[in-house]
Amino acid sequence: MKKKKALIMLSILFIFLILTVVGRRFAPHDPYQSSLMDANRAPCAEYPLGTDNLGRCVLSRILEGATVSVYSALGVVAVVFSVGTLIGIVAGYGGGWLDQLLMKITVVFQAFPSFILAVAIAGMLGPGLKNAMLSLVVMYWTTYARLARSLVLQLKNETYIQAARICGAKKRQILFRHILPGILSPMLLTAVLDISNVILSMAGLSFLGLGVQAPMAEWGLMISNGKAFLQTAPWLILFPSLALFLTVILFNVTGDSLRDALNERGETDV
Amino acid sequence: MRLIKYSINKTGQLILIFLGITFLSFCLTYLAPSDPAEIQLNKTGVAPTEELLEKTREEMGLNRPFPVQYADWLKGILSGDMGTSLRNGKPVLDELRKALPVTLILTFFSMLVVTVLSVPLGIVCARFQDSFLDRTVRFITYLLASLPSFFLALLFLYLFSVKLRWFPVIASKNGSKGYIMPVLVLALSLSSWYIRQVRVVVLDELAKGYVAGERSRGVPEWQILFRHVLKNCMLPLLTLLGISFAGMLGGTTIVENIFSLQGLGKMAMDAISARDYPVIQAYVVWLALIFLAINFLIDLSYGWIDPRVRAGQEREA
Amino acid sequence: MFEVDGLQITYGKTEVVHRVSFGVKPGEIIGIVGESGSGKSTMLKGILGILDNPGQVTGGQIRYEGTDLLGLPRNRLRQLCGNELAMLSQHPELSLDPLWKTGKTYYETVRAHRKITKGQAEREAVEIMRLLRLENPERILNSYPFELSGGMCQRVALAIAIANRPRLLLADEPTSALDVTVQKQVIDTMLDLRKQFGTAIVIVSHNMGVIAAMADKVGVMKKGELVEWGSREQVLYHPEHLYTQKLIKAIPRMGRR
Repeated sequence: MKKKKALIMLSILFIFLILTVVGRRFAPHDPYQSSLMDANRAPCAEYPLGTDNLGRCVLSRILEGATVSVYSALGVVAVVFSVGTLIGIVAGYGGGWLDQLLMKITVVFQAFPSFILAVAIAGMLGPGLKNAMLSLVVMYWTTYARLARSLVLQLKNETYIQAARICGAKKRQILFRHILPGILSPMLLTAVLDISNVILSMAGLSFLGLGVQAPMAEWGLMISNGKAFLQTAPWLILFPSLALFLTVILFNVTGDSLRDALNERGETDV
Repeated sequence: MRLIKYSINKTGQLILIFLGITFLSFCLTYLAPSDPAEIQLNKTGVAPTEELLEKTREEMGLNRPFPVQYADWLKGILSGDMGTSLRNGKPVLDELRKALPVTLILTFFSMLVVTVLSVPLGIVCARFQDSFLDRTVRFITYLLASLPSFFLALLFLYLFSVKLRWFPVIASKNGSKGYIMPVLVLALSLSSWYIRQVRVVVLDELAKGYVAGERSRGVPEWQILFRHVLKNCMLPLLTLLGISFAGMLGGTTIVENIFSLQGLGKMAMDAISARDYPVIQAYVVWLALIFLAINFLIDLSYGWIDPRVRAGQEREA
Repeated sequence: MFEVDGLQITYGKTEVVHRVSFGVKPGEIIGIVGESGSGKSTMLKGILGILDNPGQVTGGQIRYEGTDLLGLPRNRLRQLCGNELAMLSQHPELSLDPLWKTGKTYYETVRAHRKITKGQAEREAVEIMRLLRLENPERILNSYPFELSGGMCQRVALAIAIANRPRLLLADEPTSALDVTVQKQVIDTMLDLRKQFGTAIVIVSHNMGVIAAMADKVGVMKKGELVEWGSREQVLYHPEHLYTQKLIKAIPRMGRR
């Protein structure tokens, strides 16, 4: 039952991910075509979600921006997942002074309020999508490193791995055949559950003007631009926020269903 | 006596983390693509020649070896000297002094609202698990947790400033009343997470033997919940609150910028657009120190709350 | 005085106690034996309305002095619990709030049922603890549960349970977590209790030896059903049910090799 639900949610998510890529083809207008004649128009037949202060179609810009908003977050998660896992394995499996050092480093990184660190890094590097992604990587990698390390340490003491070692299996063999597959599923689950957080952090950075730069279409940036027109054109904020909100919900619900499917005991949300 | 020894050990760890934080913050300058000397020169309107740049670097102490620069900077921080702003040449400390209270007030009151809202609600939800109230709260908090805090802030602005006209759009022109909306926004977005945590922690606690014991002794239910269960949950609840402080401080940056509150977050964003690196550094160091201080206090409070921890601390020391 | 009549308890969808009935007279000691999982502890919890979450009483009556406890409003039931009806749980150290000194828990229990000052409560506590042969009661009252041994905790819990001179004490495996010497002490204390105050006791245990040492009447539970019921002599020497015979054979012969 839970497996089925997770499968359904995963397929919906998959379709959504495809839609974000091909969605821009269905855009009714050119997302970058400004026409000052049509500035700040309320939703109407021609512009279903209205237009912004430069007369650009909001719907088209949302569709265009989906790719950046969603895939930049996926990219960040992919990077922190690999980097964190690698560091965690090195620390956990290698042990010794390297382990000590790496863990001290994660402690220092975790001593920062993470979003603040991201803002500072993005601010130092200067605004831009690449820099924002980099700062998010710095913000998120520690979780994965620590998790991977503790999972490796747990597994290392499992009987079947001890047995493999006694039977003379090579270090690399144990690592790739036993440890890596063993930690993969909880690590992946954490990554999936983290995507929505990263999407929100990314949107936060863009909202502060530290991410994608104008005139590129991106949800956080669109909301930020709409702030000045809160009184006259609230749809400039409403629709991109809605897109962001629904996307985050979709990732959250999928992540939860996946967790429930993998862990029968876990508490269901909602 | 032993407790003091324990505190000293803890303080030792604290100092190590403090050094780590400052070191990392110091290293941040090296991420900057532009040369501080160049910014300094640009500000004075002098065309930067290679010679002049070299001279300015010398003046700003940028030519010295890395460890020396760090030690110098650290000494400065400890004596309250955060360097001078590249933007206006004034000490960073002055700006910090103005901004820090705003952020602290914002954080303090938000935390207060979070606690007052989340703890009783979480406890009641856990006690009446799967009741209508519990389901409703769970549903709302789930949605709220998926809502970016800046959208919540803008929604508040739209509702209470634009539509109802209760508050002006710019909070800082509003005296203490200007804090109300930012505090509510921060508190609400954090509560959505915290209520669920409280609920789960209390649910675990309610299954423990002493709760059944108290009931069998005829102790009134509210007394069990708020005098026994609450006290027993204090440790995990405080720990979670400490963790969530990071998110809260991050939230202040966004909220301050939306409501134009002149706190650290607003200061930082102004500094970022002016490439005023020392101010950005001050921002990250100070917020990290606040975070550190709070978690240190929470750590110390464990022993005060739980006699078993106290006994453990004494053994450890 | 006290009757359980056709009690049914379900956990989620499975029924774990099937129509159990028995009665208790003032000052009587009832022993109920059965292996773990036979539903005996659940039955006690059901009687006081403190079942863990999915558990629910789905049928029958629990009458105390003629009134059905199941029909009582929550607050009335609360006033009876810890006062006229007391319970002693299997893990005493877990039934006390770990963050409260035992004296404070004692005071709270007394205070929940009658007006009393702290000083008065403490004097009473010391007195009861002396009765239970606990040495240095002042120190115990000023200790946290984690600072006391299991046997001490059990007697503290017993002191708290009888603080309001209950007419009926429900004891859930009161000895199984203790070692043999302490077991004997706890049993003796409970016997004393009856002698002194005329407290009726329902004691539930998987240990036929403990029941044989204390009970006037014995019931045997198996898979949620009361399969045997009668006076101690009847059950011990003329058991009707095969299962009872098995339990009796398992009693370690004390004093006889």
